[in-house]
Amino acid sequence: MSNPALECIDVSKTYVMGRDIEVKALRNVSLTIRKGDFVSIVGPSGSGKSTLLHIAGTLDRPTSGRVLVDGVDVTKLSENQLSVFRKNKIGFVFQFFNLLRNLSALENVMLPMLLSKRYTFKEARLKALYLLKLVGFSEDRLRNPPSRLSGGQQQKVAIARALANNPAYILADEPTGNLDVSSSTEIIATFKLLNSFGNTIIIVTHNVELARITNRILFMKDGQIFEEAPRSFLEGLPIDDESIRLKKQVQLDLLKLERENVERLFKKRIITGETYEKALKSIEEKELIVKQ
Amino acid sequence: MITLLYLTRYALRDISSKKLRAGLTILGISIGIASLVSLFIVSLGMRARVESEINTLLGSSIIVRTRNSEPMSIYVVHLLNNIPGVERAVPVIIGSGLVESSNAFILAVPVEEIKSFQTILSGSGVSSPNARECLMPEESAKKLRVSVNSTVRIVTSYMQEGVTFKVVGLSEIGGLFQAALAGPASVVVMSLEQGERILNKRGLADMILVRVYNSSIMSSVVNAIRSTYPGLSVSTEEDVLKQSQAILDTIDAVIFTISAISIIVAGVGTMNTITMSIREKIREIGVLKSIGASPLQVLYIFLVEGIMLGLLGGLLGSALGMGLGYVIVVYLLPRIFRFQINLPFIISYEPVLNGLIIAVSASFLSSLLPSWNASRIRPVEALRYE
Ligand SMILES: Nc1ncnc2c1ncn2[C@@H]1O[C@H](COP(=O)(O)OP(=O)(O)O)[C@@H](O)[C@H]1O
Ligand SMILES: [Mg+2]
Repeated sequence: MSNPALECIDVSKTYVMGRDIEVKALRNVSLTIRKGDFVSIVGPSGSGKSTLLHIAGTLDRPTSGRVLVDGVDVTKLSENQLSVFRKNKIGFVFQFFNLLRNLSALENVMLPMLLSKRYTFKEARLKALYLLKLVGFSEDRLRNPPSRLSGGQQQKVAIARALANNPAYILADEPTGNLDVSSSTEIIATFKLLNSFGNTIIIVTHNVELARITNRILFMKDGQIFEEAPRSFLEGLPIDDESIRLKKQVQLDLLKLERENVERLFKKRIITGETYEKALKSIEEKELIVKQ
Repeated sequence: MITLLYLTRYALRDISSKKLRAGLTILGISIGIASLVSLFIVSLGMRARVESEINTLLGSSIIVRTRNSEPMSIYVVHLLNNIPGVERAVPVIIGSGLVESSNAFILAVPVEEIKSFQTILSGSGVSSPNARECLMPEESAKKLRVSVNSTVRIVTSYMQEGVTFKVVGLSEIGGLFQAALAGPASVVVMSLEQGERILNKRGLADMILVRVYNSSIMSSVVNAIRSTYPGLSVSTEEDVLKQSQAILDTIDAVIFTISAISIIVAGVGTMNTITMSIREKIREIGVLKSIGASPLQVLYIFLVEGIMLGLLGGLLGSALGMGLGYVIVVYLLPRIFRFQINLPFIISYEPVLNGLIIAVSASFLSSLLPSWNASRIRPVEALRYE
């Protein structure tokens, strides 16, 4: 079988503040997230949710324990290696959107692709357009800077940006925490849709509605993690059939673009045969999911 | 490549989104560069002026003096005339006195040589060796409020009662040469015979200019004079140029010290701007890193920002400096001093190029440290930063 998307083995994180004060933010957390999982992490504030997310996102290092992303032990990587790793494997969505304010909506989505150097400008642009369509971002605001977008719109751009380099999983820290009810509903629907297309998503949330549609709910308390029994039953999508059909088409276009991209990279020997095979397989799996 | 262009655009937008602060930084840099460029222009003008003056004054001649600068016998002129290759040895008497009660520098040369010392702008040369006629640089004449055909009273320590001379012509020497020789004093040029009389130097010469037939034999003539008359001090135009060059180099050193200080001030300003800009964007740096920007790419963004500020400051500073240089050379220097300094305004790429290079490298260096620090910021800390 293929690697789990994320594996935390006995992970602890202790913040040392001053001489005698230590905060044990995570205590021996072990956790496995499979590909295609849709996970919510809930719990009181200060329980270590953000810390766990940052460690899962390679932004921070655990004090002890191992973290494997797509089979790779990231606790052993240098800061430079981590930046490459993050670029290709992890997508972040933040509570305060965190779009780059000097870039337009479209440019924000293009940036990770251009940073990765795997996409031409044209490919990056086209893919960004598809991604923005997929998350339901309205086309007439592509050129707007973040300051001229509503919170909900900004969060859609952030989600599209997180998807840019086909991450192993998306990490979202309270993505609806700063949104009104109707925007929250849209964002929830967007996550649900993206998960139904095979994306692995991990969300920290206080939003009960959001937690309810995920297929795994993890509780955190005092740096420890407890899992509710896996749910076989998923709540339906708050989205109509017609737009699902449209979104499926966008996803197929996206995968087609992706296939052309990896073929180009392979021909130019930018990626190895092994990486190429793996990428093709993952694209095929995703195509299959959409066509079901 | 595209990535770099994209990051560059990102950095540039950051400058344009902070117009006031960027503008002030650019202004700060440009003031430093403007002072550098304008002083450079003044220095170029000085050099050109000194060279041309020494050239018109001495042409391709050799200057002969005694070692102790005492006057020598006019007999030396005949000796020098007998050296092969010498076209003519010209005796010169130099002295000081009062012209119309103000300090003056007196230069006396044979009548037929008067024209080779200066370009006569108006009037004529001295008509005969015994005529009480003199010429003056236009600048001295202006200061003394005399014109062609005026009479002036010249007083020396040997002629306490003074002698009246007629001003027959106005000439062009003056400026720096005058400043070097005569300081704030005026200059009068007269026949050798009149000079002998009023300066009491009959049969003497303070200096002998030796003209050679052809400049290619200059050095052999110099050697011949040196070996035949070891008691004399012999120098050429080149030596004089070298001496004045040394003075000019000192002036340049002062100029560049002043400029360097202003550049450092500008550099500190840039460092401050970049540091501020980074402090404001710590969160953004965290975001950039979270989407996979490498430390090098973050470094690049802020370096571009700093270099761009330097480039803009350099361009603005060069333009301001050219303008300022023009004002100094054309309006200020001729008016500010008691004696006039007329320098040519020389347009050259050199001051601008230097200004730009210095602006860009100063801003590059001063943004290096803060940018490096920015690239080292750990993403978690940056993201938590409010
Ligand atoms: N950088 C830090 N330094 C010190 N303590 C921290 C730091 N970050 C988080 N903590 C502490 O770790 C615990 C877990 O924090 P966090 O992961 O942010 O919780 P949550 O996201 O569930 O609210 C809290 O007690 C918090 O105060
Ligand atoms: Mg939190």
